[in-house]
Amino acid sequence: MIQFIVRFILGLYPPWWKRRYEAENADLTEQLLEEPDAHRWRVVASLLSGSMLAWLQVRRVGDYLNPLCSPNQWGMVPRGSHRDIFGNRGLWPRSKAELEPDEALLGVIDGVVGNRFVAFMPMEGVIFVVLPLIMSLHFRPFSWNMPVVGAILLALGLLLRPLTKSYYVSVAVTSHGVVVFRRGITGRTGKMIERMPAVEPEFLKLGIMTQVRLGDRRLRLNAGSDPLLYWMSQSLRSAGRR
Amino acid sequence: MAVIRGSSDRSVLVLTSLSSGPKHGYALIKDIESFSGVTLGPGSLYGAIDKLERAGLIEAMPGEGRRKPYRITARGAADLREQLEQSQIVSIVGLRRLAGAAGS
Repeated sequence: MIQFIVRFILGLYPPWWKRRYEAENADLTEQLLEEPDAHRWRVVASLLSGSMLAWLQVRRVGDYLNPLCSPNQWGMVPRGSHRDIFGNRGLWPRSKAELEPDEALLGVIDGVVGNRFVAFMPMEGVIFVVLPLIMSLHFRPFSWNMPVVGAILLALGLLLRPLTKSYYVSVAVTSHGVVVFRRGITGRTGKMIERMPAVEPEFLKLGIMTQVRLGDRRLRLNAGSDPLLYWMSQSLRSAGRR
Repeated sequence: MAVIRGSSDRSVLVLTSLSSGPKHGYALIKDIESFSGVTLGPGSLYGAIDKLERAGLIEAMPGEGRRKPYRITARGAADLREQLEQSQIVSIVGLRRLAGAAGS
């Protein structure tokens, strides 16, 4: 009975954990259960709590891929809009490598430049292709209508994005100024687009800035992170004056 | 990143145990039980091992069969020393103050 429960709980662990630790954990559990004064249910409870901890790690890895929509509050000093596997926020390594060696990262805020519909078009195309494929597995026979529209949207989006300079971006505020990075579909920060000394607030709604000017571009900010960018930009500007 | 938080933290217990040489899971649990009285379960032990391995404080060695021994890295030893020195300061000050309070 207890062997069956142990095997069942070990099966609850996430796949990456099973690859790394399942064999040795099963061996350890067997050794602990073979002891004459073994606390069997304590061992089982520990295995169960361990599986929950392992799944929490998966959530953290997932956070690394997802940009945070409203990460910052007034009074908090942010460390970026993406999380690494330890839960720290910052730029992805490829983007971080593009900063100067002595350049300190103060914060990263997500937004979109150019036309937001064009920026979203490739993602929309992918959704239109993938969704009917998944639905056809469960509910109904496959129809080509949506995937064809999706493929057109994808091709159009990939063509129009560079022409209209419409991208999802992350704006890193650093000790040297403002650096704009492209952001991929998964939310990863990628190639640097440009550097600039500071940002100009452009559109204020109910006292909250929702758009800023980045050189000749306009950045629409994700809600929640706006006051911080404004505050940082003002600090940088006043530091520049001094 | 603060992987080690306090002297009773599982990470400190695992690192302290590994500081006397490489050990596999069962040997770690028995050693930790003998010097601290804390009995780690398999779930909490591998939670700590995973955290320490990711942070580069310990590393797995090639093992025999299903058992894989772990050893402390140079960085792990340095972090453990720093943590234990901090704990030592707190315990010395605490014991001195308790002695002072008992004397007065």
